[in-house]
Amino acid sequence: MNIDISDSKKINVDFENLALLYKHYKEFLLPVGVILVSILVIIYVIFPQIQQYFNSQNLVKAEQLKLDTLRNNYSLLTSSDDATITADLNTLSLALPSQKDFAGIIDAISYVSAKTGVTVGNFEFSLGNLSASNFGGTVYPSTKIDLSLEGSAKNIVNFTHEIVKTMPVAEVTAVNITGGTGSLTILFYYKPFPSQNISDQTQIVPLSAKQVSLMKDISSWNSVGAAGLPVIPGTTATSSAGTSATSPF
Amino acid sequence: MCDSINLVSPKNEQLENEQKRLRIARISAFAVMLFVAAIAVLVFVINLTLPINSIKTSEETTLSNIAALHKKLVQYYFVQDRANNLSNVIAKRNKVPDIADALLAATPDDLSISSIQIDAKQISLIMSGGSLISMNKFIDNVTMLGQQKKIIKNIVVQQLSLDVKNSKYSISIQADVNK
Repeated sequence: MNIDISDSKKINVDFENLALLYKHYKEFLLPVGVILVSILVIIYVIFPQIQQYFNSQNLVKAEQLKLDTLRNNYSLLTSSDDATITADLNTLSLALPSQKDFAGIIDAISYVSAKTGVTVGNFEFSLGNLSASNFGGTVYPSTKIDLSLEGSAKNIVNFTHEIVKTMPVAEVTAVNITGGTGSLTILFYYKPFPSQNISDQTQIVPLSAKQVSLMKDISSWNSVGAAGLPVIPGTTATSSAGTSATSPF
Repeated sequence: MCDSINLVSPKNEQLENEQKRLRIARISAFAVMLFVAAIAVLVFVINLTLPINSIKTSEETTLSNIAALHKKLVQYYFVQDRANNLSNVIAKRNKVPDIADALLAATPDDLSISSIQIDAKQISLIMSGGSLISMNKFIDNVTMLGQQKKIIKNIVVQQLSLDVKNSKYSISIQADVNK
């Protein structure tokens, strides 16, 4: 067989030449073979192993993080008092109910009315958008109440002060006082509990100083429901608007 | 005597060179093989020493411990949820009661409030009384609410009138709520 390499040069490759080349270089075959196999081992074995090492290291980091979270959760849970958590949850649920709390609202108005010496006249509820899909994130649904009051200006202003320090949490958006009568527009907020499943792996962190201080403030608020109408998540309740809350446990 | 005679045959020299190349090839192959084997074993051992299994075992143990406290965990989670949401609601509430309180405090005793209207953006009030000095004091106090306490701004005295029949002055003020 003749292979034309260039116009001027021809190499004659035939069995005899190949045999001659093999005979001449056969001592080199083993070292070259070993080097080639080593390169293949590097490409097909060592590189994947190194890749696997980095993957495993990332996995270890992630698992370690998860384990740390679980351990923190466990240590936090074992160090917290059952009764305190339940009491805190009851207080906070009274302050920010998970659904429209008409009874709580009426009780709050009656309580503040008696405390400030203001007579409550007609009132009117506006429920707003009831679509639960709009209540996520930092959206806070509210029940709006227009309230007619009778009393001195000072007492009506006291009423506005007391109502915002009474559970459930409220915001006075408008005050109108003329002579011995007044009208207030008040928003009573509520917020459904998060709907996602809370697994044992859900991260919980200790209450921050700000949250602890908030808890103290709220504990000092006027609370009528605390005595008679505790709202504990886990109990199934139905609001008058027809929405229902199911047990999160 | 001729000193250019080469006593070593070129063929022997070539053979020697080839032997040398062969030796280098063999040594290189052996070194590469050793290196590759060492790296392979090293990486394998390092992979084996990563503590994934022990971490997973610890995770399972901790999870089984937490499972017994699931109700507490959910309650704790809800406490945080309520606290965060309450904090947000309280922070975004407007200050209508505080403004009403400040206006009452700014009113001298001998003035009476005829009308107060406060919402999130604006206040308007009408006061009446028999003394212009008290009216002036009230205006000063309201101005201070704007200048020092920064509760209100754009204060406008809309009207100051006298009811001769009842000998009473009446003042009407409007201002914007400072957010």
